[in-house]
Amino acid sequence: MRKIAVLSVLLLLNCLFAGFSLAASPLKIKFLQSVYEDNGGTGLKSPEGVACTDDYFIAADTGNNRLVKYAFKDNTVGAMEFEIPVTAPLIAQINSDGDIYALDGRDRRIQIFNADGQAKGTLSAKGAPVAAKMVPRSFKIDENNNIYILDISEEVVLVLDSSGKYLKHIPLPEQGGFFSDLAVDRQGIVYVVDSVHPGVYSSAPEGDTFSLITKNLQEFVNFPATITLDNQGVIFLMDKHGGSLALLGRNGSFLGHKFGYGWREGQFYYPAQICVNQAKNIFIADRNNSRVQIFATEE
Amino acid sequence: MKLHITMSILLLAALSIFLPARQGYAQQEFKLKAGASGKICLSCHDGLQEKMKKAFVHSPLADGDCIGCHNPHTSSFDKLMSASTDDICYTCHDSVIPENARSVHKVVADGACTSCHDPHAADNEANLLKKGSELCYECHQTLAAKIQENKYGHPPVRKNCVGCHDAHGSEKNVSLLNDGSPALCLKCHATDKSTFKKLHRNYPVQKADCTSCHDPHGSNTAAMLYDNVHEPVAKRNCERCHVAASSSKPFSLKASGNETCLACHYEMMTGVLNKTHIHWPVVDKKGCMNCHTPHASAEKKLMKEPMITVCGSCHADTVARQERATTKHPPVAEGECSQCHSPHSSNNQFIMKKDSLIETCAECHEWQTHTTHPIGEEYVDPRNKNITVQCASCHRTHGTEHKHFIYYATTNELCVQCHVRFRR
Repeated sequence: MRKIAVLSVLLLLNCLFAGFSLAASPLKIKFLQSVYEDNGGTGLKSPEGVACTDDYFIAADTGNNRLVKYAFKDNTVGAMEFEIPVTAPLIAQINSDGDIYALDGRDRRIQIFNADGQAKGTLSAKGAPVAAKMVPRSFKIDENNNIYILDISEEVVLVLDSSGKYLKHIPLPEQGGFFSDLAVDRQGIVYVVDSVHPGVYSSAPEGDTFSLITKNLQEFVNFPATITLDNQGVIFLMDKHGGSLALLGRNGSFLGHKFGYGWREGQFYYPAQICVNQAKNIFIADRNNSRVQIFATEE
Repeated sequence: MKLHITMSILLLAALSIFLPARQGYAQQEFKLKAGASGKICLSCHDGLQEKMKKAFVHSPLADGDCIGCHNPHTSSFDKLMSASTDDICYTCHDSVIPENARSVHKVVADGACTSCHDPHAADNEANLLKKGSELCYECHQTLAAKIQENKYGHPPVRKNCVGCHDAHGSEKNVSLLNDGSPALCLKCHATDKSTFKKLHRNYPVQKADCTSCHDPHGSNTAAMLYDNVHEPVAKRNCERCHVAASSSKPFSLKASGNETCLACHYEMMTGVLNKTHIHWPVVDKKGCMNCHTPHASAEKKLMKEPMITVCGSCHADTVARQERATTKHPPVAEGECSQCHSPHSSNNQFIMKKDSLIETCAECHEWQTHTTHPIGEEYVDPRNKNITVQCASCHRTHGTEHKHFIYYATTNELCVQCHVRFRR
C-alpha cells in the first residue's frame, strides 16, 4: 500500500515536471531535410497534403495530380516507392493497415488505396443520419482506424468506422467562423481549428459538443488552417498566411512559435497539411515552396 | 413612519439653509464678486451675449454657470475646460448611450459631442448645429448624395434621419435604429390593404424583414427596391424559390441550401464545382448565402455587402495587412478582390483567375511584360529549385510594412536574398 502511495506521488511529480518543462520550453525542432522531387527528377508542385508513419510518408503532390510515397528511415528520406494518380489531392492519411486515404480536390471525395497503391474505392458514409451530401473539408484517421470527417455541408464532424459505418457525429460550434481542419489525439479527443476567428475547440471522446479551449489566438497567428498533435498531446497549428507553426498545450495554452514566412529551408510560404509521426518527426507540406519539409524534435 | 417623515423634512430644511450659507461663505472666503461663477465672464466674452440671443441656450450658460464646464483659472485642457472634451459632457449627460447598447454612434462614443451640438447656444433644438438631416449629411456625404439623387426617395429620410435612427445609440438594434424591421416600417406603412397584399403575392411580408428587398434610404428602382434585384423578385415570382404563400411556413424554401440556387444557376454551379480549387464557403451549409443576398442588393451581383466587407468577414487578416501596408495596392485597397481572384472556384491556387501570376499582374502593370527583372518559367528562384521568379518573389500583393510592398525594409536587402554575392 505504501509502495503504491510513493509511486503515485512520484508519478504525479513526473507529470507535473513534464507539464512545466513543456510549458516553459516548447519542443526543440531541428530541420532535417526537404523533399523537392521524385526519383525521375520531377519536382513536387504545390503539395497540399502529407501523411506519415515512422517508415514512410505520402506527399499529396497537388499540382502534379498524384500521391507520392517516399521511404523514411533514420531521419533520412529514402527512395520514392510509387505514385498514385489522384486529381488535385488536398489531404492524405494512412491507417494502421497501411491503407492510404486522399481527399480529391475536384470531386471532393475521399479515395482509398491499399498499401501498394491499388485503388480500393471511395469512402461513403453508411447509415449516417446526417451528411447525405457530405463535403469533406478535411479528415483524420485514429489509431483504431475510425475516420473523422470535417463535413462543411452539414457543419459536423462525422465519425465512421473503418468500413464507413456511421458511429456518431458532433455538430461544429455555432459561434465559429470557418473550420478548416481537425485532429484526433490518442485518447480520442477531437480538435477543430477555426481559421477565421483563430482558435481551437475540442470534444471529449464520448462528447457530442465542442468547447473552445484556447483564447482568441489572433495575436499569435493569422489564419491557422491545419492542425495535428504529437503523441504527448502537444497541438501543432500551421498558420497558412503567416508561414509559422504555433505550439499549444493540450489545454489550449500557447507554448510558442516556430518558423516564419519565406523561401529558405525552415521557412514556409503558404504551408498546408502537417503530420507528426510516433518518432516525433514533423512533416509539413510547404505548398507554395513546392516541397515537403521534414524536422526532428527534441525534448 | 411619522418620525421618518418629520426627520426627512427637518433634514431638507437644514440643507436648504446650510447650502446657500456655504455658498455665501465661499464667496466671502475667496472674495468673489457677484456672478463670478459665470455672469461676470460675459463682461469680457461679449460674443457670448450675442450668442445667447439664439433660440436654444445650453442651460449652464443661461444660468450663468460657466464654471460648470470651464475652470476660470487654469486647465490642462483646451479652452480652459474643466475636463477633457471626451468626458465633460458626460458629467451631466451620462445617459445618452443606453447601457449595453447594441450600436453606438461613433462620434458619441468618442465624446465628440461638439461635432453635432453647440455647447453654448444654437438656433436648433438640442443645440444642434444644423437642422434635421442636414447635420447628418455633413459626415454621411455619400449616403446624402444618394438620398438626394434617388429617383424613388423615402420622404421621412429626406426630412430627418432621427425618424428611424437614434443619434446617440440604440439599445437593441443595429445601425442606431430605434426599432427593428419590420416593426419600424409598420409604424407608417399599413399592411392590411389589398394592394399591399397583391404586390407581395399574398406572402405575409409584414412579418419579414422589409430591408431584404427595399432600400430604406430610397433607390433608383421602383418601390424603392435595391438597385440590383434578383430576377424572380423583379418578376414577383416568389414561388420560384419559396413554397406557396398559403402554406403553413410560407417563407420556407422549396429546396435546401445551394440546391435552391442550382435550379436556375445549374450551368454556372456545375462549372464552379468542377474546378480543383473551390472557395470552400460555396459548398458549406450556408453556401451562396455566405456572400450573396437572395432578393435585392445595393451591390452588384447581389453581394450582401461591398466586396471588401464580405471578403474581409473571413479574410480579416488580409484586409488588415493591406490597411497596415505602407504602399497601397489599388485592387486590394479598393476591395476589388475579384479583379484577381475568381470568387467561386478556379483551377489555380488562391483561386486566381489566371494560372500565371505574372499575367495577372500584367493586367494592370503592362510595362512589366517588356521591361522588368527576369521573371517567368525559365528563371528558377535561386532560393528554391522548385519555384520560378515571379512578381510575388519580391512583392507581397496584399501589402507589407515596406514601400512597394516588398518583403524587406530596403531594396538592397531584398535583392541580396537571391544575389548573395552582393551581400555586405
